[in-house]
Amino acid sequence: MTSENTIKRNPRDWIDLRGLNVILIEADAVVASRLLAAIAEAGGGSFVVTHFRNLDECVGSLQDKPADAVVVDLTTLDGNPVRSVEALRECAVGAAIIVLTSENHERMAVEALHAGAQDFLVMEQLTVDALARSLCGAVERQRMLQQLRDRLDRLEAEEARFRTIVETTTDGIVIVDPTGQISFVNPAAETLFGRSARDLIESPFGFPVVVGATTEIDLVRPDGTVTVAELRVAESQWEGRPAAIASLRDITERRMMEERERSLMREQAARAAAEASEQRARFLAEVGSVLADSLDHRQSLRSLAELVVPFLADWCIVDLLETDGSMQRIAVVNADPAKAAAAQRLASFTPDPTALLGSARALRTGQPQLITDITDDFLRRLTSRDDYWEAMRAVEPRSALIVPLVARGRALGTIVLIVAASGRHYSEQDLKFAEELARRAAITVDNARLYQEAQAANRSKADFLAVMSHELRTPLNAVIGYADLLLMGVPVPVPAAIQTQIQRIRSSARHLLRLIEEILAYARMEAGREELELDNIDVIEFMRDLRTIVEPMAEDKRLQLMIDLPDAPVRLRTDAGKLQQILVNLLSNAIKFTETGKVGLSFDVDSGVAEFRVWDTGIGIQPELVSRIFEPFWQVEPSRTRRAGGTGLGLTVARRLARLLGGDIEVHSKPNFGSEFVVRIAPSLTKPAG
Amino acid sequence: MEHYRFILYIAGHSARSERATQQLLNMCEQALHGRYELVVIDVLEQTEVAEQEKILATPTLVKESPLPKRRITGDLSDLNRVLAALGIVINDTDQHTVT
Repeated sequence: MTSENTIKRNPRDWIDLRGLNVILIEADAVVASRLLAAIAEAGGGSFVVTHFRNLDECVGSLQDKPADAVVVDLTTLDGNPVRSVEALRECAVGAAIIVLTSENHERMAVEALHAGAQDFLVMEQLTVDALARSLCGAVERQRMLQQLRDRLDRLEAEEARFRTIVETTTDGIVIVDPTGQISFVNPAAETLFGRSARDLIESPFGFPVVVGATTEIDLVRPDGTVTVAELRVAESQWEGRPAAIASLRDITERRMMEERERSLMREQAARAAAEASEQRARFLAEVGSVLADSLDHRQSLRSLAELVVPFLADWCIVDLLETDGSMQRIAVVNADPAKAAAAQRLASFTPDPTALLGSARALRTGQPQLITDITDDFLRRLTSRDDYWEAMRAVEPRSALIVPLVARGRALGTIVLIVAASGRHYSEQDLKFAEELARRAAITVDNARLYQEAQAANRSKADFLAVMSHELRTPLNAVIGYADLLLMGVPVPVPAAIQTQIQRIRSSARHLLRLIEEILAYARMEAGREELELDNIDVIEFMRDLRTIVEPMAEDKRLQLMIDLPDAPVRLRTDAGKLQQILVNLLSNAIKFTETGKVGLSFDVDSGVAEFRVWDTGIGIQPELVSRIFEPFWQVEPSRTRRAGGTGLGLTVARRLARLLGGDIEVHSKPNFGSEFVVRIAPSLTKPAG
Repeated sequence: MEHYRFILYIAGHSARSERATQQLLNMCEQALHGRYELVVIDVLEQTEVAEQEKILATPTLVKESPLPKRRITGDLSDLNRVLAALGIVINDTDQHTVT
C-alpha cells in the first residue's frame, strides 16, 4: 500500500530534522525520562530536548528560545487541556504541537487538534517510530504553514504597495473591456470623472483609441464641467480577459495656459494689425498731402516714390504713359545707396510699351500684378533688351507689385514696387494697399492733366480775345482821332450842327474803346500775361488825372463829382496804369448806376495801407448779390443792362488787378442809398510821403 | 448594402471637437461613400442626453446601427483603427459587412 510505504520511510528522508529544538512538558518524572529517551531516539540523537514539568515554566523559556516542536502530555498536565494547547499556541509561535492523550480520550485529542495541535499520540501505544513520524510530520506541516503564512504576508505587503501606487497616483487609471465597459477605476479616475467607482464600473467609457503616444479627450462630469485629459492606452489582460488600461492625466491647467497664451498672442497680433493699419492710414494721409503738394504731377509722383521707399518697398519705379503713346520714366527711387548706379541706369531707360510683361502688361490690361517670388526666368522674359535685363538683375528683385494708375477707365501709367535686400515677400494685402496708393496717384495725374488741358484751352481763348481786342482797337483809335481833328477844325471848321453829331460819334467810339480795353485786360489776365510796372506816383496828381477822365461822364448825367484830395503830398509805389484802370472802372460804374446825387473819390492811409474809396448815392446792390458782382460776365439785373450797358467784366478785372497789386476790393452797399468800394493796396507797395 | 448611423458626442466648440467632427466626416466620406447618417451632439448643450447615454468623455463615437452598438473614445484620425474599433470591415469589392 502506498500509505504504508510512505509511513515506513525513514522520517529523516522527508525533512531535515537535525538540530530540532524540542520541548517536552511532562509532570510525571518517570514518564518524562522514558519520553526524553524516546524523543532522543526518534531524533537519532540530533534533537535538543528540553523538559519542563508544567506550562508556566515552559512559557518562560519559550520567550528566550523559540522551539520547533512541543510535545505535551495532557494526561498528567493540570488544568483544562484545551486551554493549555491554546496557551502554547500563543507562546510557541511557529512550533508544531503534539499532544499525548490516553486511550479512550479521543474526544480530548480532537479538541486539542481544534485548539491548534498538529498531531496527537496515544500514550499507551506510544513507540519511538510513531513519535518520530509524528514529530517529523508536525514540524513539516508547521514549516509549510509558516512558509505559506510568510508568502501570504509578502503577497499582502506587495499588494498593499501596488494598491498604494494605484490609489495615490494622480493619473486616473481606467480598465476597459473590449466592448468599452469599465472594469476598474482608481480614486484619481473617480475624481476626474466626478463619479464614484460604483457608478463607473460597468458604465460604457467607449473603447479607447489612441494614435501615437497620447491623445486629448474631454471628460464630462455630471455637473457639466469639463476636464481636458491626456489619454494613454496599454493593451493588457484583466481577470483573464483582454483589456485596455487607459491612463488619464489632467491637462486642463496646461491647456488653459496654452489657451491664455494663444489668446494673448491673438490679442498681440490684433494689436499689431491695428497698428499696421493705423500706420498705413497715416501713410495714406501723408501720400495725400504729398500728392496735393505740387501742381506738377510729375513732381508729385516723384515725391510719392520717395515716400514709398522704404516703408513699402526697397525700390519704386514710376512710369507715365504720354499722350503720344510712349512711356516715360518719371522716378526710380532706391533705398540702398550701394545700388545708386543701378538706379541711375534704370532711370535712363525708357520702358517699352509693347513689352509682354511687367509695366507694359499692367498698362494694357489695367490689372495689377503680384509677383510673390521673382524668378530669373521672369526677369529674362521681362524684356528683349539685354542691357535692360542686366539693369533689372542688378536690382536683385525678390518680390514685386505692379499697379497701373487708372483714372476714369484709362491707364495713365504704372507704379512698380520691388522688394530686394530686405527680403520680404509681397502679399495680397500689400497689393490692395498698393492699389489704393495707385488710385490716389492716378487721380492726381488725371486732375493735373485735366487742369493743364483746361488751362491751355483758356489760354488760347484769352489769346484770341487779346488779338481780337487789339485788332478792334486800331480802327477805333482812327475813328476817335479823326473825330477829334474834325472838332478841332482840321482841315476845315465844321458847322455847329455837324459838330454835335461828330461829338456823338466820338463819345460812342470812346465808349466802345473802353469796352474793348476791359475785354483786353480780362483776356490778358486770363492768359496770365499781366505784368506789373512799378513806379512811384504822386497821389494828388494821380487823382487829378482821374478827375479829368471821369468828369465828362459825370457832367453828362449832371452828377456832382467830389474828388477829395489828401491834405499833404503822398507818394505811392505801385503800377499807376493798373490802379487808374481800377479806379476809372469803379468811378464809371458809380456814375452809371447813379441817376441823381453825388459820386466821390477819397484817399487815406490806414496803418500803412493805401485806401481809395469810390462812393455814390445810386441804386445800391441787394445784399444777396454783393458776393456775385465780381464774377465775370455778371450784371446786377438784366433790365438794368440795357440801361447801363457794359461788358460785365469791369468789376472782375478791377478785383483781379487789385489782387495783382497785392490788395483787394471791398464793397459796402445799401439798396437805394448807394454803394462804397474800397480799394486797398498792399502795405509793401506803399511808401510814406517823401 | 449597409447603412450606418453614427452619433458623435463632443463637448463645446473646442479645437478638439472640431478636429473630431472633421475627422469623422472625412472617414465617412472615404470609407462609407455617403451611406451613413451622422448626428453630432454637444454634451454641454444637451446635458440630459449626455447623462442618459452616460457620456463620460468626448469625443465619443457611437455606432448605433447596424447592431451591435459600438462605442469608441479618443483619436478618430486613423481610419483603419476607427473602423476596426467600430467593427466595420470593408472588403475589396466595397461590400460592407459588420463583425
